[in-house]
Amino acid sequence: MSSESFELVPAEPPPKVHRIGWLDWARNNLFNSVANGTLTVVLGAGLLLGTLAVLQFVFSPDRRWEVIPPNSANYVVEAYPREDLANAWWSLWIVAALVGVSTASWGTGGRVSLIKVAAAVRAVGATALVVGVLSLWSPAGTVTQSLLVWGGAVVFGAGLAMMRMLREEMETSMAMVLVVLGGLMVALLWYLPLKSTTTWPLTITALVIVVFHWVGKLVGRKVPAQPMKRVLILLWVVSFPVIYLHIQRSPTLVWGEVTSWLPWAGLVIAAGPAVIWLVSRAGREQAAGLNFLLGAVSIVSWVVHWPMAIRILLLLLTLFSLATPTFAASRQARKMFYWSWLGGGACTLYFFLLGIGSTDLATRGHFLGGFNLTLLLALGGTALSFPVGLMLALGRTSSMPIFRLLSVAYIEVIRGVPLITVLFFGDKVIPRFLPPGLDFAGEAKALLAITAFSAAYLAENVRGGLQAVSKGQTEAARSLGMSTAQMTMLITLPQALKAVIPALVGQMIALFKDTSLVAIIGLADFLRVARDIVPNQPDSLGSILENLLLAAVIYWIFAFSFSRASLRLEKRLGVGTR
Amino acid sequence: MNRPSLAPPTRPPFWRNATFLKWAAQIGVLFGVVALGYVLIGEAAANMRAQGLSLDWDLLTDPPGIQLGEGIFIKPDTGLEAFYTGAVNMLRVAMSGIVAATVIGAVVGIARLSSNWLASKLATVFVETIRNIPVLVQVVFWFFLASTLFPLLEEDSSGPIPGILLISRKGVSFAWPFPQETFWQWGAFLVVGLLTSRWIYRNRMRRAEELGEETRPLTWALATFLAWALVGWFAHPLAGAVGWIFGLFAAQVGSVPVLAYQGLLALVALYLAWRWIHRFLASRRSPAGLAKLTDDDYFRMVLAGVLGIGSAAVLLLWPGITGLGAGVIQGILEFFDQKFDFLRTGAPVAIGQPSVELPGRFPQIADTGMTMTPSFFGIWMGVTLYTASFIAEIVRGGILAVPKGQSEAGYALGLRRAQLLRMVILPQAFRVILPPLGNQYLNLSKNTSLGIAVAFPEMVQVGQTMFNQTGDTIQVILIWMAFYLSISLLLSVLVNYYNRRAQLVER
Repeated sequence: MSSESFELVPAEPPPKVHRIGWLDWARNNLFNSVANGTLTVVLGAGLLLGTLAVLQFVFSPDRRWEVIPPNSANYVVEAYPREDLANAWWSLWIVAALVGVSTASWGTGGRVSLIKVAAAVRAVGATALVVGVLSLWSPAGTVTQSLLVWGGAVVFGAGLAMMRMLREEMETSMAMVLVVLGGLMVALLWYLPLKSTTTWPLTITALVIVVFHWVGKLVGRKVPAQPMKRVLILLWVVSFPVIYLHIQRSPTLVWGEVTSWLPWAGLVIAAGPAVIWLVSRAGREQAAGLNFLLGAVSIVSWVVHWPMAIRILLLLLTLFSLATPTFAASRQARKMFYWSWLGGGACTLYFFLLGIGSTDLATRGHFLGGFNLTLLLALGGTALSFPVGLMLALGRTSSMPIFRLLSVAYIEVIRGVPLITVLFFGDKVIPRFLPPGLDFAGEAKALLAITAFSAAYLAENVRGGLQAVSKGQTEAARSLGMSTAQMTMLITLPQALKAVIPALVGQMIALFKDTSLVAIIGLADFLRVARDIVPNQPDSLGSILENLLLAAVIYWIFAFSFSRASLRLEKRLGVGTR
Repeated sequence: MNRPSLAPPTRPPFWRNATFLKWAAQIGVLFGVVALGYVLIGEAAANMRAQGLSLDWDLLTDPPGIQLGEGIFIKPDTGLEAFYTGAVNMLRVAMSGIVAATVIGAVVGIARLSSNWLASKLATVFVETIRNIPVLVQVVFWFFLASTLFPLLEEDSSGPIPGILLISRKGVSFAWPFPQETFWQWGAFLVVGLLTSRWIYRNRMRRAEELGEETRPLTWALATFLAWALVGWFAHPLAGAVGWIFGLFAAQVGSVPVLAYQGLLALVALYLAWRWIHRFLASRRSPAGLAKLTDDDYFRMVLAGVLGIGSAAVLLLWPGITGLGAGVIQGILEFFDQKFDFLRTGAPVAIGQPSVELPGRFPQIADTGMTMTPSFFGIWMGVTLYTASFIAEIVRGGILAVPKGQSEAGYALGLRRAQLLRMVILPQAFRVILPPLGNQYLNLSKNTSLGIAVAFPEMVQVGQTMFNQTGDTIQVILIWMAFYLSISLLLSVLVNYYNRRAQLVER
């Protein structure tokens, strides 16, 4: 071994990033061949003419965009009594609080490079500037146009300056960007001369999000992440019926009507853990006997017309105790069963006390409308169709031929007909099946029809996931001695559902868009407000195209951001990648 | 030897037998569903009797007393005529929409992958805008755009392209070739031309593959077809011979007694059931012998047998069904017989000039061009663009699914981009594209039902107008179901057929 001395070669500096000028860029991407050059010129001319035509339309003196702000309450809640609008704000604040805590818990998307933010600012400014300049060719010179030109120029300049001053490695958190954006929006709200009662409540909404984000961060330091996320998911699920059945209905509770059955309901809830404990500790035969007894009591309760809350609670308890021998053998699982029962029972009782009671809000027979109704139909339809679709999917993949036949028949018939016929079925045929004089509200019938429709599509998605679970999984479960129920609930379904989450989100978006069809059967949803209600008011008579465009933009914003979120989710779950 | 004594094997009691439990549950649920249906229908019948309605089909034969916006029968005399008008209107939108959506979707989908930045960005913006807005909003928007922003119809309206395109608030009209009386005769020549050119294309393609020489199959096939079309344009009365042959067959079909057809069809039904069971058993047979059949397998075989025997019995017991089928076939043959005549002359196609004088009356006469009423324009634009945006995504996905090595190999062989796309990429992408494409066609057909929002008289709008008059909601909904289910069945059969053919090419 010779002691050679190695000479250290100094590290070369990193190669200079060659910035491509925009001329080079255009040559590479727009004019790289004669055919492409021609295409660029033709498309460019078409784009210019199209933009000019759209701007002519938008800035035409015939357009009456000013009718939209005074109708914003119609768009959001339609006929909801204006003196009770505080209820609607309270529901928004609950959602805002949950958004705040959830963003703290799940994170808001990490860090972004400041250069990218500056580039986005520059792009927004440039777009506004170009649109503003092009709009100068359209008939009327309005404040909006000069605002677009000057504001666009200022924002564009700011973006350019930021890009010059900032360095590559500077970054900030996404939360900060969102806070700045939200702050700008709130500032705009105060600056714009809108004669509106929404300024304060919307500002409060923004503040609630920020404050609860901060609260969520503080709590997150003390509480482990996993249980916190679970509680949050539970809160999201519960918030939905609380908002729609309690806060917005603002029910009136008559104590005299409930005192007769309330103690008994409390007794059933209190007895639940004891029943679960007994069933899980008893031998197989005794457990079966107990379950049989419970089932018999629950059936009898329907026959002899006990109060509805008691009947539902007994049914729930029977289901819990039936699942106990299979799923709650271990001490930990049993503990979860106790808490689930207590929580589920309390929620059931709560909805019977307040959700089902009468309300004095029902103007014109219904209190739901506008975007509120659209959201209710989309979210409620998804939530309700989930269990139905799951059962149909299991039925279709089952080895039992009659279940399979029934599921296939249902799924294929529903998938073969348009949604509007199902909605008409709900609206016109369901009343025929009910005793004379009894009818549901139109909203409830539409929700039922949408659920029935969506369940068939959901079943097909879930079936895809069930078929994607490899056979080795079920064979392994069998060899461990699991029963079919255990195998399905613990092995097959969790894997299948994880595989189809993107498809389910896609279906939710489709459902959100499809809810607009209820406008045809006469419900006052978002589209119907835009198509019939606002354009037929004396102040805004005939402003149909403006309102339809607004509706299109709002629907687009929701559907587009949902689909983007679904793409991110897909990436995070690693579906489709190995 | 002392062996541990095993308890003698006892059969578990029957209520713990898995097969028993399964079937008990299934029959219980089936019973529950049937009972629920029975109770509901009984309740509905009682309710309807109380309101003076009944569950009969008079609505198909009674005069409905309604007026439809456009279509074959604007003032239908019977309910059947009204539904027929609605069905034809629906098919007009669906078929033209499917063609247009496929073309637009394919162009946009390919443009999204273009190397031209502007083309791909514009295509992306188109797709992301259109598919995230509810189709109903789009339908209503196009309708109101056409009926409020288009120019008013004046005496001297002729624009924007005189003689070719006329846009007005009463509708969009454009020049359109209309088949004349002699079109069928020319059509016979076109069919022959199509078959010959297909044969020539295959022949020359095979020669190109075997000998490796340039045979220009497409040029040859096109030239052959055009030659036939040209000859046929002048010589079409010769096709009168086809009519004569059809006439002969029509006479033959009528002369055979219905009983013979019945027997034949019943035998076919029995044979099909037997063949299904036979093949099913064969599929369960391995070299070691017949596998143990589960209760599910028995259920399937029994079901197939019952279906076969049942349909044979139905065919034999009700001669009317077979008679109706034979009558329809005879009618079709006679129809063709009438369409061909040695003595019929004249140009087979005439170009109609745009005009909105008769807004959307159908069938249109040759000198008025093709007219889209604002309602038709709204529903057509809405469903076509919406479906096109989904088809674009499917086409893009299909092209991306072709491995990169394929295009690299194509370039290495010296193909140009257009050639590569036509000869290597698209044929392979087609296989991936086809099944979801069929789904989109189905969606488009179902979305035509939104015509009700813009008063376009398709199936659902006609049905709603009908039950608003008569109150026969259940019957109308059954008619809708039958109509849409047959359309989806037809479409899925077609798609499955092409799908099988496309997949067979592979191996």
